Amino acid sequence: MTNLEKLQAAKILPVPHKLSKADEDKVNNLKPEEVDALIHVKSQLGDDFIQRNTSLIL
Amino acid sequence: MSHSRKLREKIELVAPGMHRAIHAFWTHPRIHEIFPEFLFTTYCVGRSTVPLLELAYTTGSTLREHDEVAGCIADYCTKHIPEERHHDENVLDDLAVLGVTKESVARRIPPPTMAALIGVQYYWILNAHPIALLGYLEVLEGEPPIAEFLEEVIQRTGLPRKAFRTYFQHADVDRKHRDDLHETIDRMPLSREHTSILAVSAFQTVELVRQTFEALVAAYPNEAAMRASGTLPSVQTRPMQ
Repeated sequence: MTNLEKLQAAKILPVPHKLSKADEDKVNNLKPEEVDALIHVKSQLGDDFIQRNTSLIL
Repeated sequence: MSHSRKLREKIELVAPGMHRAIHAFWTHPRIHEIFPEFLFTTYCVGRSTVPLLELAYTTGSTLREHDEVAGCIADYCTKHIPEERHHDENVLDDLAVLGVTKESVARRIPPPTMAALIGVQYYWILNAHPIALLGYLEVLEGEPPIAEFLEEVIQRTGLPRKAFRTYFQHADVDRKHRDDLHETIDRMPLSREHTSILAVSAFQTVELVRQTFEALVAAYPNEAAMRASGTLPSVQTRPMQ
């Protein structure tokens, strides 16, 4: 099972997903513990929102 | 590819949801009401930065003899701690401009999301490795404010410029902080485990920042959305019979 499939099975990524091929490769190159973390914290992948003026300092 | 670039690429996979939540805040029709709450959140994070760096310094110094990476982190903290000192006090000054007193801030209990955001770093530093803190800092300092954007917010909202002093200051200094952080990450001899802890800490930070901004906005529903959901009566266009 690829990382992508694991994340889709955990509903972290929608089926079908909107990731580019480059991002798909990045996801599949994540280490198992990194994939587990994404699932555990219920990360949101596959969101294509792009906004760079986020001004985050917190 | 450098360690910092690899980390940034991992963060960018999960960042859109966080960016969407932050964007919803900055463009919210009631931002003038939410802004003091946002500054309180900024204060909650700011006052914990130096204690977190001090803990990473202490832990890194203890491990230094047998762990070169921990030693590099202790050195980074030694340099970064003075740069972060008193930033929380600057936020209190910005809050005072909006009529929020230091006493009222001191009395407030921070939201649980704040405790989670900061608290997990204590856990990672003490129980995994102090490098976790650099994943957290990469998320918080990796995308510094842009002065032109802040100017646009002031114009749009009518909020006093003096309430943005901390933000303008960070627009100046955070680029240097980010470059220093990347330089530190890139010169360390990171193992597979180190890079994983960095990423896991960053992923968790992104998620908790997203939740923080979503909670801020959710507390101030915009009227159009309330009308659409039926929780606010629609505007009467004709007199009632």
